[in-house]
Amino acid sequence: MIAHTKNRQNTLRAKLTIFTLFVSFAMASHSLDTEVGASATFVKALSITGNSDMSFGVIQYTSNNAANEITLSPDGAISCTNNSDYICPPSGARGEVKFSGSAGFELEISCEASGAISNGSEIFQLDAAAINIGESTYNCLGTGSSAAQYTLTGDVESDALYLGSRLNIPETGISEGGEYASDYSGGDPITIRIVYQ
Amino acid sequence: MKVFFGIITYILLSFVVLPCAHAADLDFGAIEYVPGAGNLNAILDPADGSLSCNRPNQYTCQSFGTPGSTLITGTPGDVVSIACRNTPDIANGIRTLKIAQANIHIDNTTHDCKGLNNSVTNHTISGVQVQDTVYWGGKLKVTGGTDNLSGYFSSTQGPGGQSQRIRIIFQ
Repeated sequence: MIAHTKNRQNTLRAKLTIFTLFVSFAMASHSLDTEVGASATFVKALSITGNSDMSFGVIQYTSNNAANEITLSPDGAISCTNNSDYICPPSGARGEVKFSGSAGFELEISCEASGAISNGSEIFQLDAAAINIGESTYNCLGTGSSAAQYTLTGDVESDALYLGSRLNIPETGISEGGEYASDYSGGDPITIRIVYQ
Repeated sequence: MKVFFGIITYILLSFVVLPCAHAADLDFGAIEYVPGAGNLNAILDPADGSLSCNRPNQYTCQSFGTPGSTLITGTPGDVVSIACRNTPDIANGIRTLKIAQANIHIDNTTHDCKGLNNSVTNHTISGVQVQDTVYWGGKLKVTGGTDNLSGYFSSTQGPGGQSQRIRIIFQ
């Protein structure tokens, strides 16, 4: 009986010791550490490393020429809808833009769908512009709408896009002839916009 | 007696467990650089997330980044002291960049961090999330040129990354 009471007292003492330690711990000030991550992404500024203009080449026409649609595709091939009044070359020079930036980062590319070429007095409209990049062709939708996404490879030859378009000769045909270009008065080049996504 | 200790333990535990919730990582966003650019100081203000960079002709920073944030939770009215590491690092696995002077913002005041053993301010827990959130920012430095600078840098990207550590001391 005495031993049993002593055991109970020891148990109670032990519990009170634990309780006291617990209270002491709870009363003491304590701290908590938390980790918060940080990040930044560095990208090399995009630069144009080379570009060349589109050229439909030399197009021959008869004196009584009428409307024609001359399409220069982004692979350089030329096709005409009116082959009776015109002799179109089989190929021209596609437009080319080479660019450089941080490899592995994705670009968003947009381009104007239309433009114009002029000889200073007579103006012909360009439309249906399209680009080829990464072996795929995309229609231009204006600089406010993404036409294509492309991931930079870091390879100077691969990181390039090619431009084609359609030249519209109206029903009245070509009256003056000569060289027509977007640089001349009334001309309007096709703008291409390349930005990091 | 067992019931008594059970209740006491439960009550004590409810006071001892004072969680500190992590809300968001700091992000300086995308920074464009011209190859060969000089040293960069990109300062992210923890008060509003605004980001300013020197050398605007060589680096293009966004107007705003994301400040890091940590929510302190506890019993409203309790006072806590706050300490923080002053030089966390970010790395891309090849290069390490220093966040030279980390700072925190709480109670409408910004304080420079002075290491985990030096409290920089006290805060009374309000129970209102926006008031009990510690925001942190700092000055990211790029020195030594732009070689291997391209890519994603983070404090968890090893080797070399080191997260910001914030210590909340409950009094």
